[in-house]
Amino acid sequence: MGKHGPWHVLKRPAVGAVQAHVQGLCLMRAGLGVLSLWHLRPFVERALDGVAYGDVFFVPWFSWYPVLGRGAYFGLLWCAVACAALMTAGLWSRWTTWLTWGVLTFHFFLSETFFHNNRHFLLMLLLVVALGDNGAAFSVDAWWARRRHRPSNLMRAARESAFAVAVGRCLVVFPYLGSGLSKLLDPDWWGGRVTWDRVLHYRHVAEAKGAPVWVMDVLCRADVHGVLAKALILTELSIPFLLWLPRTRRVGVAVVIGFHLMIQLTASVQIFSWLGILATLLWLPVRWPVVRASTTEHAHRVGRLGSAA
Amino acid sequence: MTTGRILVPAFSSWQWGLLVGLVGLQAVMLVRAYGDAHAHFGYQPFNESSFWQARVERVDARGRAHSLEAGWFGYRWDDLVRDRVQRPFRWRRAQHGIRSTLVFMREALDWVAMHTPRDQHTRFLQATVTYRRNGGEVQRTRLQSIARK
Repeated sequence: MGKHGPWHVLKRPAVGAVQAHVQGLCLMRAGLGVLSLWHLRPFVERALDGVAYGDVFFVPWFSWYPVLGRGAYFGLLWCAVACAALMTAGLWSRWTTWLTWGVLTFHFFLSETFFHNNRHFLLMLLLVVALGDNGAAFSVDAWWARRRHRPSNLMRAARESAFAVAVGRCLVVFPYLGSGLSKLLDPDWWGGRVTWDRVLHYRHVAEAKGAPVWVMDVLCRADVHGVLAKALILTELSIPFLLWLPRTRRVGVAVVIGFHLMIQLTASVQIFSWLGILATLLWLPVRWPVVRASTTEHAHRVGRLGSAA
Repeated sequence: MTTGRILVPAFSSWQWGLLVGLVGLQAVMLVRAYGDAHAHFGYQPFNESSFWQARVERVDARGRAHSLEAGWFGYRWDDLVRDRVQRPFRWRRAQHGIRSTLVFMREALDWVAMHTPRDQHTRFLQATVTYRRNGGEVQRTRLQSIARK
């Protein structure tokens, strides 16, 4: 899958090519489980203080959407925590992933005040992972299957995961397109006014954290931001193309990781940066050292992760 | 037989439908977000460097305005409003843009007005929001809640 043209993912790739992405999908499952738990943390903290969402200001998305009582809301939260924990561990992986997505989506739509871009991104990635066989590796399910001498069927997992990877690749470019396009169309952003004003306001915070004064002097110049803003916007808009084109895919992944690490260092974005980095597993094959990349239809052992039967 | 020559089954009709549907839905949301004060589902983070603060008051039957900053009748604004427009009394950044902040402030005034039964004296709540968008001129607007019964 990594070597073919941009539209190849929508055609019928070779199973061997997809198998390398199955492991990536399984790693994503585990990572998204952890990030789901992190996403639930502020809600759980309030619940432990005895505060339900209906006790404070909230705005229903739809008039017909159910408004939960305190007991139901607390039950929903703990259900979400349990599903996310099981999903992380990879126990009943597909079921718990679907449940986690379903419960978090239901929770998300309880109030417009819950909306954040990173939460939207989380739900999107959970859906992508749920569509594939995300328990074939790096999971309690896979370990238990090996214990029972019924190892994971990577062949079947590849067949079921090709669709998930295709959907994932089509959807994960939207955050970069949406963000880059909105900034491109905004004269204040394109001209550097937004980033300049932001840096001016938070200069004292950066210097308190150890940023050198001379660096901040440079970053507080309007002409620097006139160039910096354009570079940021064009970098963001280039990411979808870098990822989709096979020749530039590795560069695209490197740009994505660097881009998100920079954002994480300079802004408060909750889990968005980690989600963006985790999503790069959709683009590059994961070749776990103990697994040979190719298997056959018949019973050959594939390292410690089982055989394709 | 190597798996390199074995192709995955072609996507079924429902899979194609789901793929096209999801991509189409996200594309529509992306475009729709330009007309939405909150830019929901449009992936438009950090679109502004806007800062704001508000003087939130309750107006009694005699038309006198009383600030809510120190609380009123056992209520505190920050206990009742914990998202989006919490801590309005100090200058702070508009996380999702000033338009979204103003809409949520209006809705928060309504919600607080309707969920403070111990307050038997207030006719309505109001907020005078002072804000500055992308380092521009300071602007001011007044928002008012629905009338309390």
